[in-house]
Amino acid sequence: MSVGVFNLDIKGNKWDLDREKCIKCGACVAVCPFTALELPEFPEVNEKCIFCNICAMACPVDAIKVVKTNKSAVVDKSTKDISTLSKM
Amino acid sequence: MDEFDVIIVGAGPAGASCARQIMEKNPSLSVMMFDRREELGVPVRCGEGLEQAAEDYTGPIPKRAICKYIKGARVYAPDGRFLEADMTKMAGGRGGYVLDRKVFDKWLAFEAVKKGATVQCDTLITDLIVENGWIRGVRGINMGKEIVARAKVVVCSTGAESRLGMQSGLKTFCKAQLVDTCVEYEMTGSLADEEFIHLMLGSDIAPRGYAWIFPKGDGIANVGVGVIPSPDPMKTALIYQEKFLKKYAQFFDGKRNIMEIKGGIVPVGDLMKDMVTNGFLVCGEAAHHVNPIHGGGIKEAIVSGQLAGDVVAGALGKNDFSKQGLSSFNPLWWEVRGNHLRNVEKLREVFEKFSDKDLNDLVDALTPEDLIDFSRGQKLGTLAKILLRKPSLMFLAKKLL
Ligand SMILES: Cc1cc2nc3c(=O)[nH]c(=O)nc-3n(C[C@H](O)[C@H](O)[C@H](O)COP(=O)(O)OP(=O)(O)OC[C@H]3O[C@@H](n4cnc5c(N)ncnc54)[C@H](O)[C@@H]3O)c2cc1C
Ligand code: SF4
Ligand code: SF4
Repeated sequence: MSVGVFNLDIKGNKWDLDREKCIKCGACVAVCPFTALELPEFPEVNEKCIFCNICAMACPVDAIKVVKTNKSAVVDKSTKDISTLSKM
Repeated sequence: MDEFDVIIVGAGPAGASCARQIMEKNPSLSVMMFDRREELGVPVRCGEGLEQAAEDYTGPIPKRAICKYIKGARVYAPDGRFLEADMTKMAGGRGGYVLDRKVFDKWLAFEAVKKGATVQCDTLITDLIVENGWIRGVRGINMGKEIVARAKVVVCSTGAESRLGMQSGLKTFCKAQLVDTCVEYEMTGSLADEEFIHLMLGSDIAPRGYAWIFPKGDGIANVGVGVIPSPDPMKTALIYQEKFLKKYAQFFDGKRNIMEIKGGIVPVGDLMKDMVTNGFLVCGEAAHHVNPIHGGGIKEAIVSGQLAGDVVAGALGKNDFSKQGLSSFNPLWWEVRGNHLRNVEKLREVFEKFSDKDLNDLVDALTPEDLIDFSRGQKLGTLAKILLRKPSLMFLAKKLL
């Protein structure tokens, strides 16, 4: 298992969990295409994250904020699936 | 290191039903169920509604697991008018229950244990042991200690939340556009008729999904919404839930006594085609075995788990637990449940295209029996005929014919 954290910042791309809002439901973990999340209790993110925002979309309580400013900082593993999703 | 004939990961309705079925077929087998939860059934991530017909598979559900007996469902169009489907007045004459899943899930697991299966909670399975294209066991953490266990067959019944199944190479992953994201309160002060469950449609309160009130008796109810995931923070399930409580304020006493907040996702399609590989089988919600219209997954999990149990016991009997040996699960599940659920998915795809006005009009065009038929994936032609009468919806009829 990769080691997870509640906040990730890779060269300006950010993944942040608001633990006050989170209800520990696991929706984010289930939809992450890159197994970048684990749910020991609160969801924890790891370096596999590509900041695609899909977990934030599925979160029922808006507890995850994803900011992707630096496209070159992460290996872009986007699939067609994801590009269509982020337009939703 | 421990060795078993079968390891079942996840002791929810699917896993427990699978374990029980295996033991019924062959009591000499050793079956171990692992579950990450410290208490089976807790936390509840469910509206707890179950049709009585599920007892055909489980046997009589004990009274202590049932909060409320239900006659049927009222389905509300966006304009507030509703269709009432009283199932006790229809063929079969059986209604449903709102359960207490904290009790129900433990009872199902206990039924398997009584037959000889073993259960170990507080055991998070982190990895499948994969060797030369075979799944040979699992690694995990039991009460803080690392464990390794091997088995001839590993059954994955981890529900939608888990990513474990992906390690097998099977397509267990839930695509975000094919799940609904949900929030639910267990609250007091519900004034809705307690003989029915209430399902509310409308783009203002539940885009693609629906909002619900499932009465548990004494004014207690599970009240929630399931909606399509959206990148807009103003379109979260929680925000729609609050809109729903406002729009249907007449159904609540206004005191907002919330005793439990639950969330989660429900797969609403993408039924898996191939659910087995060498030494491995996935069933229940982990294989997206959920009704794609109403999101009911308890009965689907039970049926799927039971069918899986038959196949696993059979494969062990023949001493062939390769992909080939387990492969009869695919056509079996598709024949018994998959083809129906695929029809339900087609209906969902059609309903998704409806405007609120179309949904309002539909209430005039349908009978309560139609509703029940649709939720079972039957009589798609009835809906197609209605669509053909409306020029704006004609193009959708094709999907159903
Ligand atoms: C808000 C909401 C409301 C719902 N309402 C209804 C409803 O009213 N009626 C209905 O029929 N269905 C409803 N559903 C769907 C229903 O809850 C599920 O479909 C059903 O529980 C699926 O059963 P299962 O056994 O497949 O999985 P689950 O019940 O999810 O059980 C899976 C088990 O696996 C365990 N597990 C997961 N990962 C691991 C791991 N890595 N290691 C060890 N153990 C693990 C979990 O702890 C869990 O106990 C609802 C779902 C949601 C989210
Ligand atoms: S942003 Fe994308 S990759 Fe990162 S955790 Fe969320 S879903 Fe996974
Ligand atoms: S989806 Fe949201 S509420 Fe649920 S566990 Fe993830 S961050 Fe927490």
